[in-house]
Amino acid sequence: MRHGRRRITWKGTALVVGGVVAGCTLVTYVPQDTGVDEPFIVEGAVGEVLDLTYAELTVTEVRVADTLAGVAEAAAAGGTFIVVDASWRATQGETTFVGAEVTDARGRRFWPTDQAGCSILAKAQPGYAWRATYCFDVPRDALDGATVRLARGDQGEEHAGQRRDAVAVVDLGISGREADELWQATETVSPQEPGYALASAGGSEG
Amino acid sequence: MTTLVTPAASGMGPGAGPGTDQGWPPSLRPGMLPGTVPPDVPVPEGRKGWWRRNAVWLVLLPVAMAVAAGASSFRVWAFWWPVGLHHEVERVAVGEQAHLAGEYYDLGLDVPERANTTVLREIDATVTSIQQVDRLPPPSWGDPVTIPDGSVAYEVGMHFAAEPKTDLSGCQIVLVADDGTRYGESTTDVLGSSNRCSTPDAAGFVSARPEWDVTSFVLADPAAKITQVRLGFGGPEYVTFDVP
Repeated sequence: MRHGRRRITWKGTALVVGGVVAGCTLVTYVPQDTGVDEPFIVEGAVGEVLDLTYAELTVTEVRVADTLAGVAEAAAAGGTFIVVDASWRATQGETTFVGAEVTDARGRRFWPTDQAGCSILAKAQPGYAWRATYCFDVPRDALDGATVRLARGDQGEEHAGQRRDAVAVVDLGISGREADELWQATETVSPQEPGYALASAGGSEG
Repeated sequence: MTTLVTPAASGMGPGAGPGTDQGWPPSLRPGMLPGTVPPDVPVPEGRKGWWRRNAVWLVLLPVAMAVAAGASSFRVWAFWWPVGLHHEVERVAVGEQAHLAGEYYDLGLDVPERANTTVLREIDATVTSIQQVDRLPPPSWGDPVTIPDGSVAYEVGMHFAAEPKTDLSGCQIVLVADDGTRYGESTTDVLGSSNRCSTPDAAGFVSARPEWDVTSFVLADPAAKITQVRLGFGGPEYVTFDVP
């Protein structure tokens, strides 16, 4: 058994202080919030099939409407609705696609509405394509240069659910002049219920 | 006249005089003879190396690291392990019988006396057939379902044997392709049945007969090469049937 207190030596003190300084230096200067935490962005256009590893995604059509007419209810836009028709085909297993938002040229983010039968998420398995219609209520100045961001991870908490995962960003192809025309239009869109995409007319009727 | 001042000698008692001992050394307690070592004075040891002095902690370090890793990985067993098919309990060929046993927490929805208890579910299962079909039969309810473009449909026939009132909810009949793609993982099949291990006329989610047969339909990619059928009830246990 040792007797007496351990002596505080210059060598030990230097070791501890040096370790703390080295740790602080690493945390301060090594970019820990970039690289591995960023999602893998897959950019594309309307009609293009995007490979997200866990699914194939196609944004099939983009429309603008000031009114949504669903089966049970109708919804009037505060600004105007961007209606995005998309087709998901899972490639690994049953997958829930939670992430859906429109981003405008200024970086503002708009989340989907579930009014009038619009989808805010989709769920699909390998073996078939599943159709979903997302509706976003956006102001006039958000149309020009807007993109839609779709993924299996959620976009809450600064896209926390999409870190280190594939994310699709699709340019909606709306230019400044078209944005004015689209804003003036008074269209009514009836969102389709989610279902199999491109169902065969020659299939079984039982 | 010069006066010399001589300080008194330390330890010199009143009786001390010329020719006697000058007193106790500073480190020697009264009653101890010079040359003896007090019992609480540490005996100098040979200096041990750092590794020997910290041998106990060095042995405990990997244990502590293992405990810390286990404690921080609680999400694996708390959230990931119980949900999903992770533990293959038996593997047989199509046409052979497999025994699936696994515990689950019964809410007592179909059998009230089992409410809020952990129940061991045991069931014998055999894949009797697996084949592609061109059409889907009419569902028990709802509109007819067509095979979507870009898909093929498989019909999987299964034979089950279990004690009556065995809970069959959460049944998954999964087709696995050679590239690992899992088709039909959902507890609801392509015809909308949410009770895939029960006969269409079943009233609840528990078995009514000691033996019975079911047919389940699964959509798959046309190019998929199906190599396995998996049966589970939400997991983690499942059985595998190899497709020849």
